[in-house]
Amino acid sequence: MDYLLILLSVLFTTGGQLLQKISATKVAAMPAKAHFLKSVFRQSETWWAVTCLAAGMVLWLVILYRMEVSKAFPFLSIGFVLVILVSRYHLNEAVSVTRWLGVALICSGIVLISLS
Amino acid sequence: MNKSRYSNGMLFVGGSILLSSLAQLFMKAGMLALHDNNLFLSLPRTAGNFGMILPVLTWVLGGLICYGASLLCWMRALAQYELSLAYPLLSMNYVLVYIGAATWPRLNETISITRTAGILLIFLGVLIVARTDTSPTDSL
Repeated sequence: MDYLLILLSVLFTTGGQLLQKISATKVAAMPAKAHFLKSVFRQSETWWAVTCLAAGMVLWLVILYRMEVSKAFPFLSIGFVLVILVSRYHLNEAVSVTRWLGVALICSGIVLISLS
Repeated sequence: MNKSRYSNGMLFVGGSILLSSLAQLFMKAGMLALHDNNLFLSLPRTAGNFGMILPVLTWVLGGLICYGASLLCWMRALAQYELSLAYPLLSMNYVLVYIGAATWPRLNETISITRTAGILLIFLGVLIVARTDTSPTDSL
């Protein structure tokens, strides 16, 4: 249950950041004379981004209520692993052997923390 | 990038890491101030009592302010350094949160060999993953 909450919190936060990026890309493509802040807040993605980031933060507070911060916080490093997996298998980018070693270290660290 | 416009960038990198670790510790302190056996029973009881809700709000708000300040420091740091130089340093966060949570008496969290080993592995792993490297890649 706790680990499921952590995964949800990470997914909401990452999703929020992706939506921020999508919104920023749309605004960047607009004519230069468009008012920046107005354009940003006219994008529906901006509001979905804010919603996702807020949900991620609320979930994180629930997690901190339920478990030690020194146990919960290290799980956030799973985000680095997810980014590598997505760039390798979804974006078809090459991943170096050294990076795979890093992924293995993070995963073993997470297993140890979950046992602690 | 005009590097001469900026200086003391390492101060901002360090500040960003320190502030984001503090943010986690403060938010945990806030949730501890709420502590009861059940969050859903604890929330309405705490929210209705000013003396009980004040420390919760203060710590959580303090945490959020540190978090925001950390993001600002990070953006300022990136104005001076390449991401490849600053990004791996974020791995320090995992060590700092562990040391802080174990040594701050208000949190007084568990220290164990297993957890210390786990933190060190994650520290090394993030350090390696966040680094820009030029070593051979796997075949596509």
